[in-house]
Amino acid sequence: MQGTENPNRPATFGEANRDIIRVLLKPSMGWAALFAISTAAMIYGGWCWYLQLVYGLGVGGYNPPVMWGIYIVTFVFWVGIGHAGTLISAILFLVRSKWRTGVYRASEAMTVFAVMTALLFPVLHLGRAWQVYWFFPYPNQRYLWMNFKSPLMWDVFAISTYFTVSAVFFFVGLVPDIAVVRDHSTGLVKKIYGVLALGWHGTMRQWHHYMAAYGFFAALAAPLVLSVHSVVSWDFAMAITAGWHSTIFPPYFVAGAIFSGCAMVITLMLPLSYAYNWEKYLNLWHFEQLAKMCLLTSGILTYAYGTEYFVGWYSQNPYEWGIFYWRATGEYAWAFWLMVFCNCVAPLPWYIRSMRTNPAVLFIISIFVNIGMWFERFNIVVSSLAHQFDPAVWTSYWPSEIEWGVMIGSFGWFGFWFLLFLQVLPAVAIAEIKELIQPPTKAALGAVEAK
Amino acid sequence: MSSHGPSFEDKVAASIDAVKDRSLPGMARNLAFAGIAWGVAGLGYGFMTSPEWTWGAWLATSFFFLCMGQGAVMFAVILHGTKAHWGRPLKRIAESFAVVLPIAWLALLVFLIFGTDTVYSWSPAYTQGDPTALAPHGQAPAAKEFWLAKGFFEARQLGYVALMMLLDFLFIRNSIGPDLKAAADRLGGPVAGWWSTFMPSGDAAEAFKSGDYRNEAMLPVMGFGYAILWSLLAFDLIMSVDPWWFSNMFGGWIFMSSILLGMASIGFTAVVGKDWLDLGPWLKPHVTHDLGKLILAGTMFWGYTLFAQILPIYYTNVPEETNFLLVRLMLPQWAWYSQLVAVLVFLAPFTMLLSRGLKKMHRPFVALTCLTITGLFLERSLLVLPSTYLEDTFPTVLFLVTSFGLFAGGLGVTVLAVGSFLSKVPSVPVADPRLDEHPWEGHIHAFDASHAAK
Repeated sequence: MQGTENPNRPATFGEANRDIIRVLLKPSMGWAALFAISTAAMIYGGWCWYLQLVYGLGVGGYNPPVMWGIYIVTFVFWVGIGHAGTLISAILFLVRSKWRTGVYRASEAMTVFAVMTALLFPVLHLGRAWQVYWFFPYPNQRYLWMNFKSPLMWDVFAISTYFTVSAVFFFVGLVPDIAVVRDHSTGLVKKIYGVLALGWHGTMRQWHHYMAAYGFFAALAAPLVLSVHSVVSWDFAMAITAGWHSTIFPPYFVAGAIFSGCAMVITLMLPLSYAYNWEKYLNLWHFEQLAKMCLLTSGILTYAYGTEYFVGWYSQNPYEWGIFYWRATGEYAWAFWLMVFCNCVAPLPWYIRSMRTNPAVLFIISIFVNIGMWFERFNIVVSSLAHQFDPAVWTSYWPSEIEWGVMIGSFGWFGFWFLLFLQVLPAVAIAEIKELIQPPTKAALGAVEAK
Repeated sequence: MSSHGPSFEDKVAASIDAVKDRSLPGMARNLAFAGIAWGVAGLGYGFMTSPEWTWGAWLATSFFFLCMGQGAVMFAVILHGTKAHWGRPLKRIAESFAVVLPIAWLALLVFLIFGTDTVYSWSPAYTQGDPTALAPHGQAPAAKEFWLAKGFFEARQLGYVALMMLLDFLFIRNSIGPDLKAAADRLGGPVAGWWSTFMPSGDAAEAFKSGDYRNEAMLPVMGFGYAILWSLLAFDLIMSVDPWWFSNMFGGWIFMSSILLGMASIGFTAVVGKDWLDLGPWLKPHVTHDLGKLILAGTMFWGYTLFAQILPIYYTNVPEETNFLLVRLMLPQWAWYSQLVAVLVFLAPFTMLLSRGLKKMHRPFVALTCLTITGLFLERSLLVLPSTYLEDTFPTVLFLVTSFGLFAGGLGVTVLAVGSFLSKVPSVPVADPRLDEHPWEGHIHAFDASHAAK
């Protein structure tokens, strides 16, 4: 794999087409094994949820007042994962950063599927899941409305908006590439891709409108990167619960989301690059840039953790300081220190260039970051609830088998969709890769032939 | 790079040659002295009329210029870290603002010696009466006495800034050294006066490589150092004017808005001083366009982080948190002022910067930077003055004479200091190969230009 600033690019447009679409609709053994594991995990999660529906929420490990457990932890985790895709595709597009080209399509797919996974959790969290439509405003005879003052309601609108925009942005970006797949297919497959390609023929007029629309969507999606996780953070910050009521939460959550999302992109794309032999398109140059993004956001998180502790002490508010002291020394101290290690210490080797251009180190650290970011949410959600104002209600929480099962199911659900995506849609943006290649002029073709 | 106009090498040579005869224009010098005179007069009037307001204004102004100087240097650090080509012509101007820091540090020293007892209600010798009368928002919580012990407090503030200045000094030495060497090689000897002591021996290109490498190694230290030291400075100097109030976003809000202030100051200097600094060949419309986009991002971030502080405090309505906001947002003598700050720092720049053309036009761009700079000065004052000036009416004359006098005086000193530095060193980093336009940028700007033509 190359780690230079100028990745080894394909020589011609045709080569890029062939390289990227050759893996479609041809599942390998490895893919099939992963797909089977994901499907099995998803089915297991579904079974656990079924048990919860039959026996009620009591099958969870909730122990009042800890009424939010790992469902919320995992919900926030997946919303966070869903951030990097839009950051990479929209914001890096707006700042014209070239390294996004290789990784943005799969990152966008990751975003859409991660948000789809996150959206399961408000439903999974309900005892009577069939009444989930109560989340949305709908006409009814008793003029009932949901509580718009609740940050949980803000979440519904923020995340559904984000999902809509991300999904449309994802699809818009795919149109020219779907047309390439259509042009290389036959029979029924060609017809299906033909419908999805929306009549794309790559005319000047189509490109003109396409670029305008893409830029518009990018501009629309960029603020959502900030807004969605800010609103998620307010689920906590709007409460007076010690450890939650914090003004730094919005940017801290956004930075954490980008951190975990970029790490997840490394986790997913690094093996993919080897498995599909896509080193021309996804190489260490891209992963090095992602590692740098992780380093920056890890620094922001470390700053935020430190600030929380400093101001917790500085405020001399006994409840505030009490919870922060307890997090580091109490029952969940192991989770706290695991979080600190994974999010603050583990990424440090990436400050050395040889470490952030070493595939094994990249992959291992990215796994640490994913674990650390899950535990960050665990620390926030569980420790504050377990150790509230009144010592008489201090308690402990540990997830039940059902909750673990549902959580594992969510990873299966995500894996299911992502693996399916790899088989049916181009995981690298063919059209944008071509922007980096010399156009097929006579002179260029002559040069290639001479080579 | 371009097939039209002078080559990159010619432009670099012209930038070096221009250093020989450069000195601060008379008009700028006269305006600077006028500002300083206004500041001195304002101080005199202020101390005679209201020491509470005057010391508060002194603190706010010192802090504002510390933020301006450090924010601008951090912009140079960011340019270095991102290896950006587009903003390279602005790097020297950004670095030049470091010379403001020692002056602002001295102003802070004077405040810490003479002003703390007037401004901070937690000070044991608080001069504005019994601080318990202000409780629970006056006296510091008992357990905080150690942190806010006067000597320790004062030493810390001076230490934070001194440490940051040391880092800046090392960064700038590595950065300007190769340029001074390139200038000396071309002009046949050192031209930068005292700054020539930064000049390395050996070849300018080699010096650039080693300086670039050293500065790259310093980037994490500079970044974390700035975030931590400036947050602590903000918590101590500004947030403690109300010793019971706390917002853990406050430090981040201050250090990020300081970079916004730095960018606006750099933009103002580059455009207003374009002819004097011979920036014509470098300061193309896309440079102000890109800087404008960053100022827009900074403006949005300022609004976002302010909102992120106000919303949870408003929503939960906890008295120990709301007091700081209520005084500033609801009391009639301060409410209009807060609204003015919101317009100057957020609404007006945000609206103006949405226009692509306006970011490329010099006069509107200068007007925009003036709005941001003035707005942020008023914002820093708003953070301090309502907690130190406890009267029921707004002192309009003091505000216009003393606060704006200190602002004008500070600007005057800044013009003289920055002007003195830029008179002696090349106004662009001439030894830096990234001063040349990046091939991708050329492509993008050609694309933009073709669209603009349509």
